[in-house]
Amino acid sequence: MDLERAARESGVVRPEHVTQLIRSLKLRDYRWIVCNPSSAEPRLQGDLILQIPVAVIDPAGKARSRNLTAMVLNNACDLQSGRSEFISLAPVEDFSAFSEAMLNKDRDQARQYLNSLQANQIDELLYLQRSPQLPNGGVVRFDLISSLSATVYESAIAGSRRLASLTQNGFYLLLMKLTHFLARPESAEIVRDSQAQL
Amino acid sequence: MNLSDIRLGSLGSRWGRRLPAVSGFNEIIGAQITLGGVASIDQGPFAFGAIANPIELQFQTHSITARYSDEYQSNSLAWLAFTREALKDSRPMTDWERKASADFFWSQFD
Repeated sequence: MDLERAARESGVVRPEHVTQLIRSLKLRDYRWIVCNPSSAEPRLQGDLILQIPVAVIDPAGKARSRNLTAMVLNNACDLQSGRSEFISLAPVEDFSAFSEAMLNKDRDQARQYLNSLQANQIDELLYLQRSPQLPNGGVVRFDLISSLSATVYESAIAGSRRLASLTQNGFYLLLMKLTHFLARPESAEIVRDSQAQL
Repeated sequence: MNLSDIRLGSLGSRWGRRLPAVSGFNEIIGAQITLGGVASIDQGPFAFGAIANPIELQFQTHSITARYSDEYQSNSLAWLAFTREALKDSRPMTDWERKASADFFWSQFD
């Protein structure tokens, strides 16, 4: 597989970005993912927002909500004011607290897990290395995506609660991770009906 | 001229909006249409050129649709191949990892 050729033919990675993206992916040092909030674009896919409600249904069927840091998953086009009524978010865990909790449960299993996580080799998670915006690092939880009224998102933007944006290569990595987690080809062993029963 | 199908902009375009438009046509990506009887398609990866009258416009849009479909499929496959190769060492969480991560998440609600 020629990674560069596939990237060039994907129509997603701009030709002028291909070499740098592939070089970054090989680094396994993920300081290149996050940067300061974009000053040119007030709303971007992958922005990190501080103190924004994340809601999840608990095992008893009860809706639970808490203000957390979260990543905006909508395409930038759909984030324009008045475009969508709802915004999709993935909560971002504090990596220091997360890793400490894992190590307290089972040191050996946690070490293996954290090594894979820090290499960005866990399908459900995106690891954000320590940076000025995230001094403890972060873990984006694609397994906990929830929806939020766009009005709440707009008030967070108006209240200057944007913590960070993704760099160009960070944005490509987000698209790669989302594709791999949610839109990869199904196993050939899975059989579906070929026609609807009308 | 039947103006029933043209869409100005693209599915992902910030500025995209649907306009009533020409039949036999599914989607223009990055099209720009000027007034005064001249349509120009001057942006986007799939189509280039200027169209000076409605008859020529109908002819052009059929070939644009075919090229769009082929390139779209080819791009999608290349993107899937790229992500699969670049993330070939990625794996799902183990049962222990899934449970431990869930426990950590819920602990923030206590």
